[in-house]
Amino acid sequence: MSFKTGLVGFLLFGVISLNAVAEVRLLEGWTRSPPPGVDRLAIYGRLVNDGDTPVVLSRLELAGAGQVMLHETVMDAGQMRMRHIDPIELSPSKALVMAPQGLHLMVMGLARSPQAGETLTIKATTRLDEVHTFLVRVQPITALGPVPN
Amino acid sequence: MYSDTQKTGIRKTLGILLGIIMVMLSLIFLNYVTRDVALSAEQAAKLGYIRFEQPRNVTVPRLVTAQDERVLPTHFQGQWDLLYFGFTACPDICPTTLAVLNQALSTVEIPPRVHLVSVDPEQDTPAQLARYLGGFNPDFLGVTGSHDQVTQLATQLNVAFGKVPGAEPGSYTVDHTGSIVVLDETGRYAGFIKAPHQPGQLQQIIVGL
Ligand SMILES: [Cu+2]
Repeated sequence: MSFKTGLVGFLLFGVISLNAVAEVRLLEGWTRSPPPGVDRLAIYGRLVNDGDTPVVLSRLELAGAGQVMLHETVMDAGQMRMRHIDPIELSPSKALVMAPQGLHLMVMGLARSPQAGETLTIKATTRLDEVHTFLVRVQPITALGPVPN
Repeated sequence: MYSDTQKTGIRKTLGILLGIIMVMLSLIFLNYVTRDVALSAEQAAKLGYIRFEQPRNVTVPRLVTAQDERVLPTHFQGQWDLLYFGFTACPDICPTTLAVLNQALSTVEIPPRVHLVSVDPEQDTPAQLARYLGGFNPDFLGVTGSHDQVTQLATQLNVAFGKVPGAEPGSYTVDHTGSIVVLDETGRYAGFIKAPHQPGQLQQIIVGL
């Protein structure tokens, strides 16, 4: 093993172990496969902060998509609206529950439609520049929860 | 023993008696069935279904179905119809409502028809609606048209909608009423089911229509 590969390996190990002690996780992340011609989708699941201090997510990314942001569907004077929530604050004591007809991670500008059975990986960067990854299972469009109906 | 005329008389009486018993039994049965199933206005309201005392007439404007056929003035007559105003690019509330409706109707013996009326008719062509709805339930129907035509129908059904710009330049979303509109067998506006919708709640309402 050359010095270079050793160094790369050491750095990779560092990155992996950093992720292994991740404080922020997405549990039961799921979404629906968008219909043909639609470039957006809504991600659900529970965002938990296992640490002792509040965490602020400052950037969410998905490869092959334009934007990822936290939205909330709200009823306002009888109208269903989506409200953009920024910043995304995760307190250590309380999970952020995202479910249909409420909070969701909204993905916009998808280059291609993910199909049911695929897993998407969201990259989340905190205000302190820590990186966490969230796994999202793609379900059929008729899904009402993280597992098929 | 009995003469022929007496025999005919007895048969007639027996026939009439049997007829009366049959009618009484059917009435009891009908009363039982309707009492068991139909919801009172109060029960309905508790479930989120606001039923009008007097159903309202609806004038069907010129619209097209997902099969690109004209929606006739008599389109909503002959069966109960549920109308949801939404659009195919809506990521959260629309697919959720359609999936909930699909689940709620799966156990209903004679389900009402379900229509998605597009509030984004510029994007939702008949073909796009057909593809989209096919993913939920092949029996779900689509309705689209020009913005004005959809507005004409929506206004009569207390549904409002409006395009709003999204976060990215050129992107948009459409705010819209979340209720499910109920049309009775004669095509009149009978009431609406308030959002949010759950399969059990919708099933109870639909069975009691
Ligand atoms: Cu959204």
